[in-house]
Amino acid sequence: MSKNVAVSTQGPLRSAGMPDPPSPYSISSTSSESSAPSTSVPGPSVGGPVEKGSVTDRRRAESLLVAENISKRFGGIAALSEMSLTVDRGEAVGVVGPNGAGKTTLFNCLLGIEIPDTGRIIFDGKRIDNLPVYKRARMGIARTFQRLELFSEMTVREHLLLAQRSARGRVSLLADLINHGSASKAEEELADHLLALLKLEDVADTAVDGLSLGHGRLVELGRALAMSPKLLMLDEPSSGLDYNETKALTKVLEQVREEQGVAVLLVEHDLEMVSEVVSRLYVLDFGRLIAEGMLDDVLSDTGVRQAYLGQVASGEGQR
Amino acid sequence: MPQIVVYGLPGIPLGCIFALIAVGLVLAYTTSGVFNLAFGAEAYAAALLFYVAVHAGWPKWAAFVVSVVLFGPALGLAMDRYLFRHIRTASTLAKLIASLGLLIAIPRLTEVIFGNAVRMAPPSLILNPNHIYFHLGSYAVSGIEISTVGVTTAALIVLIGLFGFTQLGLRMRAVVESPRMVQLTGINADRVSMVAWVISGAFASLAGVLLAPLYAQLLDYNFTGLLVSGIAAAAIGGFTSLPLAFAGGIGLGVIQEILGGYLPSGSILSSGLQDAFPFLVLVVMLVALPSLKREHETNDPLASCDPPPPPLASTLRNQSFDRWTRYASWTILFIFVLSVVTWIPGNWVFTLSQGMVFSIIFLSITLLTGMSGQLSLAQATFAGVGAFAAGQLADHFGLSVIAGMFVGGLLAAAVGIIVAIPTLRMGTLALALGTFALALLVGSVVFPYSWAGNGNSGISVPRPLIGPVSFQDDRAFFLLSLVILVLCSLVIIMIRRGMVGRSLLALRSSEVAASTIGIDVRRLKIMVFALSSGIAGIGGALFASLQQSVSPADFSYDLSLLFVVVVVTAGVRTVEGAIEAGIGYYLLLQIMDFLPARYSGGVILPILFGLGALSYARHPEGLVEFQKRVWTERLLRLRDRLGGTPSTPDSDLPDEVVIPAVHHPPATG
Repeated sequence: MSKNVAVSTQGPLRSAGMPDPPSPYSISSTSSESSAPSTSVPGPSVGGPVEKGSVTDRRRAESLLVAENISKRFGGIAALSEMSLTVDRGEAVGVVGPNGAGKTTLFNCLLGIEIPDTGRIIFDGKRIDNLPVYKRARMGIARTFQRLELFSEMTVREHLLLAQRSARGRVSLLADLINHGSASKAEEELADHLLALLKLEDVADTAVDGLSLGHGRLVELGRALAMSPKLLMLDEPSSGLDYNETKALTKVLEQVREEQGVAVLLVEHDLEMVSEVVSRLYVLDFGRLIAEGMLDDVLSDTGVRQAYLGQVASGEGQR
Repeated sequence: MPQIVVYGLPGIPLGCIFALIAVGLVLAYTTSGVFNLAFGAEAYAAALLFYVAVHAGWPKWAAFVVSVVLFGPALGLAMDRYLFRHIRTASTLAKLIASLGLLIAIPRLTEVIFGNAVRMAPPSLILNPNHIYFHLGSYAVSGIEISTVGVTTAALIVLIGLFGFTQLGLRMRAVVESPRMVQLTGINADRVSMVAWVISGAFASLAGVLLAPLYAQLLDYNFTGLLVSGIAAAAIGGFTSLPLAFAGGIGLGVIQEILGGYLPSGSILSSGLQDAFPFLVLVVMLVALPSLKREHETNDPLASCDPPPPPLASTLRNQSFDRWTRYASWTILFIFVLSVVTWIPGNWVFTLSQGMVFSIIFLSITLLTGMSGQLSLAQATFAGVGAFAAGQLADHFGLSVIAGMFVGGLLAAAVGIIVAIPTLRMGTLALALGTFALALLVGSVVFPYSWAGNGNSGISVPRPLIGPVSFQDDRAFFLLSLVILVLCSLVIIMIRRGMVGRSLLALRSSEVAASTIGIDVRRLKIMVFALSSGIAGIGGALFASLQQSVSPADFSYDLSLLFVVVVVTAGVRTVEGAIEAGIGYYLLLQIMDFLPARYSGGVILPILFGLGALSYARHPEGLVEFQKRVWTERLLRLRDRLGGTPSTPDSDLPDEVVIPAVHHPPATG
């Protein structure tokens, strides 16, 4: 399906040497279509707003995650402006953009770490924008962090067991006092399975403090998967990893998706990794959506290349 | 002149002192991130120095130069140079505990140096304190009021001059805005914070010297108590604004005096509400001010590079060693218990029971501080709630003390929840200050009532009676305490090993990550705080039953502070640390009883443990625990050398554990 390719007018604006959009509210990725005929978009573009609307409606019913018009300002800075995003069940979606584009803010808004100023978020058919972080987690949203956030002094296996228990909201004082909350057979099995899947058996009973960054990322991935999530959000999983480690991580991710059928929302700098994992892509710049669509279409788009790679547009992108 | 002005006028000199305290606190806090609880101790030490010098016949100006111009700034300098500068990147908890250690140690150190004579009628700085110099309307203005207001104004002018008109002041204002930004522009923030500490020290000593003549006797207790007023004033300025903190101090003093004027005099309510007022202001500020929610936490990007905490001694021992120590410890424990019930003299049995009862209270600190990383400065108050509840229930309703103990524990837990809900989500500092204020408030407003602690005379509490078994005898009571201590220890151990304990570990490492795996952080924290206060309440009730008579003085707020440093020094991360702390402290106290009062356990032990707590930032597992690890390692090495059996890899330090690299795809594939 290439219906949902939409590219904004940011391309020509940028090439004309005007980095700052005139108003955060005047242009959104969908409405800008008709008003910007000058942009020569490679690949098919969407028809009219009407058709687009119907697609959105259908998406809202089916999609796992629907975020609409999310805006977040920090003082005078619009970290996110009217960002909309959908993730279908089992789908892998990427979010790319240069540093400061608002990727992490988007993540934090979706998770409830930041409260967005406007917009609404629907997950699994329920509105979640008023829920605290832990309730969203219990509904099936798991994440990893760009800078490792592991629990020091705990072993890898303990991470996996705790995440299973807490994601179901079953951490109880009483259970601890009866049998110090020891894991059930099913919990042990899932932990063992994840350890094998992530090839972490060798370090299963090592405290995470001594682990390398590459291992740490895998433990975070395992901790997220232990929650049996419906949506897995990965925040720059390749940062700090070398080429081979990134390759290995990509491979593991593919395996996980194949096996668990979990939807993935990937924020990433490494376009190579993105192109191997996701099928659909959103591109952010200065807190606004500048393109969305199927992977290849978006990557070949001029505006995206300019924003992301800083290339000066050649003739085709200009008047 | 209207009545309200007459009531309010004497508040101005008092407010001036609050303001001096507040300004000193804010200065140190903003430039170094340390909330300096030791400020009260600094003030006391300077006031004592001034007193001693004046009584040695020195002219007042010379005493002033020594205590305020030289000593105060030097103390501030030393605190920055040798302690706080080195723990700038440490957690709020570590900084608080370090300042707490000083708050405990400094007054006792002065006692060792200058003796513990009763010091009546502290001298005033200038002018005759009691002489009436002039009348303001119908209000008679005494010398002490003039001197306080005058000196404070002078100090303020010096500070304004320093801040407003010098290069240094400019830098300091910049550091207050953003220390990191300042360092990026090439200014040595270390030097700037050093200057701030020097000024803070000068303000502390000035406040101390001015404050002393307001009381009939020079006591460190008064200085620590006034700290809360200073903290409340600082809170009005959001802990960052100097002018607001200053104005807050004056306003607080005036309103406090007006309250005192209008409330019926002589009642507990009047004196109590005056004490409570700063507490109420502090709590309202902690809850209301949004700027306070963002804690002044140094977010050093390199903080996560700190090495992981060293392993506990118990994790070092390998299997055979473990078995050996387990047999040995069970045997020793058995012989110990047998000795207690047979031949050990009665007063030592009593001391040992005391130690065990305090171990129970200390376990509440293990749970709260060691496991969840929070700091409460009201554990003695919670113990008091348990004690008085059990005593009153036994007295009025004939409830068994054992049952009363659990009711007392529940009541303490309930009080804990009431304090925890508003303050916990504001972070470590807010909880510590909130509980500190609670301890003062309950101690002065609630405990004196006859339905609670019954003032100085206290209440009597019976020894428990379970069916036909009486625990009237000290040896029988020892066994009861032992059983309850073991039960409480088991609860803590089960929690630590269980999922709640792991959730707490998770919380300490990363609150955000903990909530993203579905942990309800707030509920967990409140639950642990309630459980901790409950355990303290149970311990307090048992203490009351052991003593058979308790009064509010047994649970005064300064005891809570002492508890924290004792447990932290012994080892706050382990159950055995709490038990060592409890039994060790009270045994040592008894053993050192024969020493002259100046060097008795009550003086020397707080110094040792207070100074021991300074190392918390470096040895969060506790000094005693650290030494245990060192000696275990030595023993293991010695055994290897003698026995020739190489130690197993698990007895090595974790950095020597071989960790295989991440699995790479085969080069050919």
